[in-house]
Amino acid sequence: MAPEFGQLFLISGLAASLMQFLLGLNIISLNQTNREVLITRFTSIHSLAVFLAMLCLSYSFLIDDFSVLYVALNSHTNLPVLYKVTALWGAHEGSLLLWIFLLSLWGASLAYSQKFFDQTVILKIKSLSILGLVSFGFILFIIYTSNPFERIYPFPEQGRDLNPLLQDPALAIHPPMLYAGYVGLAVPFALALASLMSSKDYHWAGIARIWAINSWLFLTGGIALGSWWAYYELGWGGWWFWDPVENASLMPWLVATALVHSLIVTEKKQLFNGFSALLAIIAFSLSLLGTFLVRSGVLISVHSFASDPERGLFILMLIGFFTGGALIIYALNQKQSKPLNLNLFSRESLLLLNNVFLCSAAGLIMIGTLYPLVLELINSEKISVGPPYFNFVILFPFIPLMLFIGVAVFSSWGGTGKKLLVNINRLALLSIVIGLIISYLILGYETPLTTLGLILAIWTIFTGAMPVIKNLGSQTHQLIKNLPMALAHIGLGLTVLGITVTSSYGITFDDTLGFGQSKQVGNYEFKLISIEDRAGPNFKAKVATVDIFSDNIKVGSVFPEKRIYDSASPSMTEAGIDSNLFRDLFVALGEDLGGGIWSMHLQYKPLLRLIWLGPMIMMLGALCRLFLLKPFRRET
Amino acid sequence: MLPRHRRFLAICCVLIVVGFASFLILKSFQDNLLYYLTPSEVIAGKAPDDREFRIGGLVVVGSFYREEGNLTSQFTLTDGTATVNVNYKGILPDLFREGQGIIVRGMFNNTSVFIASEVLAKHDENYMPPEIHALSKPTE
Repeated sequence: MAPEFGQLFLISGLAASLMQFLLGLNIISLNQTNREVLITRFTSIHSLAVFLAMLCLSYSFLIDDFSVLYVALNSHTNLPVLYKVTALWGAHEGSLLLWIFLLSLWGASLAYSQKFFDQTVILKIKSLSILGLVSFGFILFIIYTSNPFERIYPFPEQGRDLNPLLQDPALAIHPPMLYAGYVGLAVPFALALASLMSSKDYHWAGIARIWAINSWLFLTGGIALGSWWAYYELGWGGWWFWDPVENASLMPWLVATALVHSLIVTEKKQLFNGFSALLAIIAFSLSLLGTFLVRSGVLISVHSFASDPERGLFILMLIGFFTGGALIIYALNQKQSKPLNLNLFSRESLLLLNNVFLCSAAGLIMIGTLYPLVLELINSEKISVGPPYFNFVILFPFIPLMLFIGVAVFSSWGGTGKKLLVNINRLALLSIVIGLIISYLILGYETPLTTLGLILAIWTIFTGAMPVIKNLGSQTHQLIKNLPMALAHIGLGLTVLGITVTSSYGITFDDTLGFGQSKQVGNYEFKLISIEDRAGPNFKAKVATVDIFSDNIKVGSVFPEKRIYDSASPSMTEAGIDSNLFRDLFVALGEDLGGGIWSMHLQYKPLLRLIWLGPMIMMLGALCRLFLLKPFRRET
Repeated sequence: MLPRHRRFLAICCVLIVVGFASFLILKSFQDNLLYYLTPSEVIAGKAPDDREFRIGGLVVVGSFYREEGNLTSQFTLTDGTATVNVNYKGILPDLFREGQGIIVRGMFNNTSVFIASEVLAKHDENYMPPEIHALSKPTE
């Protein structure tokens, strides 16, 4: 019965979201207070209904009801319970259900937010109405093209099992985080449109900033988790592949970063109102584009497991409708702006400049991601754009971006350059000296780009930390005021530092290794000790023991595995990793080449952990802004 | 300097910088495009000879050969009409099998053997790159 109830809940959700949309229009005559109360209630009903639908699907997974097609395709009686729960978002239908649930949850959080007051009630009603329409579109999409509650008859005795790649703790929480980030951007989008259609003033910016930071927090976490997962689970020790699906998550992140910064200016200085609104629209459109790229299977990608032209077309139409509609509303309601008179070295113009760089980065990634698709449509020529393109072009916006981040921190609103230059000179000199010392004396000179990367990373960390260090002696709220920014910038600096050092000084190659033999990887010696059989709950594995020596002293052992799952014939590689903050040593087991010799993938990656530590510190910054700053705000 | 002149100078600078950047970006774009061809297209001479490209096809059953204890493997790719011999030194992906659809990236050496620098196999049981799906249909 559960699937039928789920279906029913989904349809109730559809109806509630439609009501949520209609209540925001003026076609129903109601006074504003009643309208607000009703739309708030329908928003809750809508998210409750979708939540119950998700519970029903979960229930079917937990009781192994293989008469439900989606469960039969993605579960197995031997699957551990944790993965039976997470299998819910293991494939297309369920992950869309999760997408909608998170969207409705963000909607409910907006409906019960304390951020609105009498003047902005209209903003609340309009934005909830827009969120209702977005939900309506996507629930319709689920019901028509990808219903997770569909039954099969006769039903199979056993399920096809969850894709072994997805049976992993990090990947259990990666999709919900990433999706929470994607759909969270729907809130600033709705608020921007609501503002354009009603008041056209600046109230929306302060409210939108909270949700923009929330989404940014989740996007950052989702992307970092995905990268970490790809590193240890996909088998070959890369942490970023410029895969279309990765790009699809990076583009909204870049624009969301720009949005968060632009909203600061709009909220505090009543400037760039139109630009912020445009960024909000673009950010959510890119989230929709991401959904389209992942779920339509249009691109050659390791991720695009669900390819179905009908679904692709439907999502494309939804993107066209929401993006196109939003841009039309934006164009029709754009207020005649007063002439801007910006000082080049004021904080507002530096933020604007950096936002332009962030958007250009997103644009360059978009060209590389979509160009193959467009070319194939036009003359059926098949190409793909390789990582060298992305690695190269991303430098153009990022080098000036990193440079100006530090300058912007020291600038003041509306300020001029004179005082600023005095302040940053010493710090810039210090960063250059330290960068040069590290690059020439400690690590050894590699390329000019490596040195530049080191200097810029250190510069960003220093300039990020400075406002906090300067206020160490002063009152708590002065100190805390700059903490979110400081943490976010330090996090970025650490990430760039990690990327620079790992890609310049890392060593990686494939080689053969027999028992008792060893291979030199940089300063480390990898020695194959043994290979043994091991049985897991739903797989059998070959486990190798590889000892690692440095200067003939054993520094650790790793145990890479080759797994064969009961349900799927191809084997899976589980890498053996020995890591600390300064370096990662990585071994992945290849194949038995016969004669006791195995192929292995060996890797030495210095400072690799910073690539994921950085985002964690950035997230800490966002958390500080959301939770720590509030009580101090009220006091002052 | 008149404000008008200053503005003119500023615009010129911006244009030069933007123009130079776009030139480099476009050049990098051109240099890093990877063409994707089928074995038939390769035999028909569409393959570039000065840079890497990709070939997609099915691994011919019985064509796989690797010496004991050696990392280098040889196999043949087909699209049903033409074949290409491939040589690859490195670890093959978990999902590499004879009869399966794969994609190889690399270049020809002067003896018409394709030297692959990367081998990609389909991602999971149910996934097939659209190209390979299209070409495996008539034979199935």
